[in-house]
Amino acid sequence: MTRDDLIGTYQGYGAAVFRRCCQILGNAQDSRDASQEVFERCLRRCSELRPGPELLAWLYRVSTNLCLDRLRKRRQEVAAAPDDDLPSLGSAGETRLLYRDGVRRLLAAVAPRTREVAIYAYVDGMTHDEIAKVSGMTDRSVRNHLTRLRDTARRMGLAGESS
Amino acid sequence: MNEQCPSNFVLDAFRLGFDHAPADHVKSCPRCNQWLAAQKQMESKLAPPVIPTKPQRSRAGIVKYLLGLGIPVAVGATALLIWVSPKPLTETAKGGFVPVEIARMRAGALSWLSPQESLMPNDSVRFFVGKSDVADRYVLIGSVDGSQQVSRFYPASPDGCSVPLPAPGEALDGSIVIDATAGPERIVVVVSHRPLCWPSVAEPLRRLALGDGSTGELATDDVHTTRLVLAKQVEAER
Repeated sequence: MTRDDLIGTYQGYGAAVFRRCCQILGNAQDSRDASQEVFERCLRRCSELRPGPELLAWLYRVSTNLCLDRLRKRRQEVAAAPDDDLPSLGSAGETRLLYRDGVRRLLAAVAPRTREVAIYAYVDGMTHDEIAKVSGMTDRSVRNHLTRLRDTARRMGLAGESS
Repeated sequence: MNEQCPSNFVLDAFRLGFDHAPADHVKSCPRCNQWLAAQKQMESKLAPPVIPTKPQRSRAGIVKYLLGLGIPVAVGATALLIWVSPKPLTETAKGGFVPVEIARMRAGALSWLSPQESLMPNDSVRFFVGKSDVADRYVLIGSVDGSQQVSRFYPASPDGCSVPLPAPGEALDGSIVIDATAGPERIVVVVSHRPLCWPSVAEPLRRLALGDGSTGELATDDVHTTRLVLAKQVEAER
C-alpha cells in the first residue's frame, strides 16, 4: 500500500479506528491521540500493508493493543467519566464495560493476549473465528484464552460479571 | 449490540465493502443501521491526512521529518542538514542536538510538521524524540511563545521532572494542543542523563528559548538541548 492509498482510504478506516479507541478509552481526546498514533504506525509500515480486510484486522489489533497499553498506564484517568463529545456508538453498557471495577481488576489480572481476546469477545462481540482473524491466533488459542479469562474471573468471584 | 447483530468488526468490513454477508441482517436491523449511520457521520468529519510524498528538505532547519524511514536515518539526515546549514533556523545548545520529529493533527488531518510550516491554535502535536547519546534517559520539553512565559509541555506539572524517553519510534505520551497566544512557538527539547525538574530548569529554558544561550542546569555536559522556532498563525476564529 502506498501513502496515497492510505490517504484515499483514511476516512473509512479512520472512523473505525477512532470509534474503536473511544470504545476502549472512553475519552475523546485520548482517542484522538491514540488514533493518531495508530495511523503513525500505519504510515511507517504502509509498504507492508494492503488495503482490505487484512488492513482492517491489523488496525483493530494495533488500536486494541495501543488502547490497552494506555489504559494500563492511566488507570486513574480511566475512572473518569467519558467526554460529552464521544460518538454515540454502541450501547451504554459496552462503553462503560471497562470502567467497572470488577472488569478492570479482571483485565489487570490476565496476560496481555488474554486481555486483547477479552476485548474482542466481550466489547466487540466477535465470534471465535473473527477473533482468530483479527488477532492472528488459532481458533484453539482463542478458546484457551477465553477459558483462562473465565477461570480467572471465577477465582476472583467475578464470573457473573464477565461471562 | 444484541445477540443477533454482527460484531463491530463485521459491520466495519461490511461498511468498507469487504464482507457482504451481513446485508440481509442490516436491512432489517435498526440498531445496525444506526451504527452504520453514526460511522458515516464520523467519516464525513475526518479529513484525510496530509502526508508529504517525499521528505521536505530545508537548509534552514535542523528538524527533519522523515516518513517511512527509521530513526537512525532520520538522525543522520538531520545531522547532515545541520552540517550544511549556514544559518540554522533552530539552534543547538551545549552537548549536541536532539533529534526531534513532530506529528501534527489539524482538523483531523495528520501530517509531519516541516520547519517551513506554521502552527495554528488547536493544532494537536506529538513529539518523537531520539537520544543524543546512549546515556540519555530523560526528556523535558517546554515552549516560550509571544507572552514570553514558559509553557510546560512534558511534564505539564510546574513541579514535575523529566519524563523517561520513550522507545525509539514511539511518541511521548499525550498530545499538546496549541493555544491562541501570539507566536512564534520557541520550543526547547531537553534530553538528559538524569531527571531535571521544572523549578530549576524553567528560567534557563526560557532564556535559551529566547536566544540568550544555555545557563544553569542546561549548560552541563550530560544535558542536550534543541531549540525549534516555529511560526504561529493566530486567527480570530478557526
